[in-house]
Amino acid sequence: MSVENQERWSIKGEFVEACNCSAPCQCLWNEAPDDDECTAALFWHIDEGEYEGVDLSGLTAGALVYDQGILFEGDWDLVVLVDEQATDAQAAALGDIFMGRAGGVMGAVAELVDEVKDTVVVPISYSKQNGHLSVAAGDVVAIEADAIEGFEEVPGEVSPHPLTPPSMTASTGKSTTATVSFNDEFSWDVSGNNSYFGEFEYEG
Amino acid sequence: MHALDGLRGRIERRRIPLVALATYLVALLAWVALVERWLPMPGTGAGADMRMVDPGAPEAMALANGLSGMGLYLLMWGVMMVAMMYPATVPLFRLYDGTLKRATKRERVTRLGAFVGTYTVVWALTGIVPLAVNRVVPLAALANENGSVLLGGSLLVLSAYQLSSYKRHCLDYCRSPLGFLADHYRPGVRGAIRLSGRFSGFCLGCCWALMGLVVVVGSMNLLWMAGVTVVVSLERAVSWGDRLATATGLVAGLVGAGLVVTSLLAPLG
Repeated sequence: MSVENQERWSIKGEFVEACNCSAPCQCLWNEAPDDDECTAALFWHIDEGEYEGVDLSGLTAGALVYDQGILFEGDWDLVVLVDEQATDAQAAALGDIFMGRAGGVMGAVAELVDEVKDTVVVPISYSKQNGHLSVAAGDVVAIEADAIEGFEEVPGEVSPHPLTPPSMTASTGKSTTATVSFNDEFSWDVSGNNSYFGEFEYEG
Repeated sequence: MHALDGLRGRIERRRIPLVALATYLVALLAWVALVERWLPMPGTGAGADMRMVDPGAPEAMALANGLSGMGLYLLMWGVMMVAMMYPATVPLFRLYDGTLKRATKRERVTRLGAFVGTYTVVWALTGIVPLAVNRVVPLAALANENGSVLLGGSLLVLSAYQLSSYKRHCLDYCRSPLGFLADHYRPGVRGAIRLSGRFSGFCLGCCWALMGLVVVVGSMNLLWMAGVTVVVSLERAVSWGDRLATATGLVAGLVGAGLVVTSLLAPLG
């Protein structure tokens, strides 16, 4: 029946995260983070996306996460970052999706969030070339990261990774720069640590 | 950099957790139904001389009464599973409910129903296992002849499983289902059924050995049911849940070994 086909939004593109754990980060194994504390910046660069008729292609959204203990057990503090390029309608759509108000996987993720401390609009730049990632969000976030290569210079992969579809793998990476300066709670320099990146596809 | 007007608000997370309340309420009703014996018994006849709480008694009655007996047994078993598993699964149901924030009321009810329904049907159907086992080896007779070896052996199986990597793996998924949900989430009713079905697999993997113990001590033994429910719920809910699983395994191993050894030595003495 119609229930099956009422998809209201879908986005796909590339994500990158940079956190405080040694590479690779053990949250994927449901283990506590290094120092029992997770400080992470995440970005989703949307290649193709639509939200109730609003085109979201080319935009980037981000999140700053602070958590203690095992990540997927919840209780996160969050700051949501929205691309300055977004029009009002696009910004509202990104806010809805990434704050979990639009349901889908992000709706489930929102169940783990204790509090969204802030939602801010900043200029966000994203680029990925030859396994090197470069992301900046105004004065708030700077990430430079590279894929980690294993023996025979083969890039490392992890699967399953909750941000990627089950048919895909995420890449293991390491940051050379990973700094956040927003306020007292969300300020850190975790350069030289874990940085997973890969492709995502969400719908709701 | 400026704040985005209208989105500055907090996530509306402290809303009344309707899904959680409803789940607990259904579980409570299931407990009342079991304690008050509201459910029709699987039959009379073959098992009439047994007490329903005895090991193997409900299964023997069900098997002696053909299809209707087995149907009633599965109904009773299903209610048992609701009573025992729903409290532990509230976080998962809430997480799934979170994916339905933009859905209309009708969609939300349909998809939650499909999700919870699939989970319930899978667990109810596991009742076929104790029936099949009793068909081959009547537990009632075995429990009469050598009860402590049977119980001890079951505790040893439980112990081995509680301490295995399979248990740990499944418990990980059950304790923090978000990663799994994010991986396998698809919209729509069919998506709900598929996700719930896959998840039920891990849930079975997590709890089958504990349920097996309930069958061995007597499927209608309310005290054991309550005890296992507490263990299943705590394993998932509290931060020391994984250690509780290990501790349960160790205790089951010690008691099981003790029972088996003493009952094997008894005839010699």
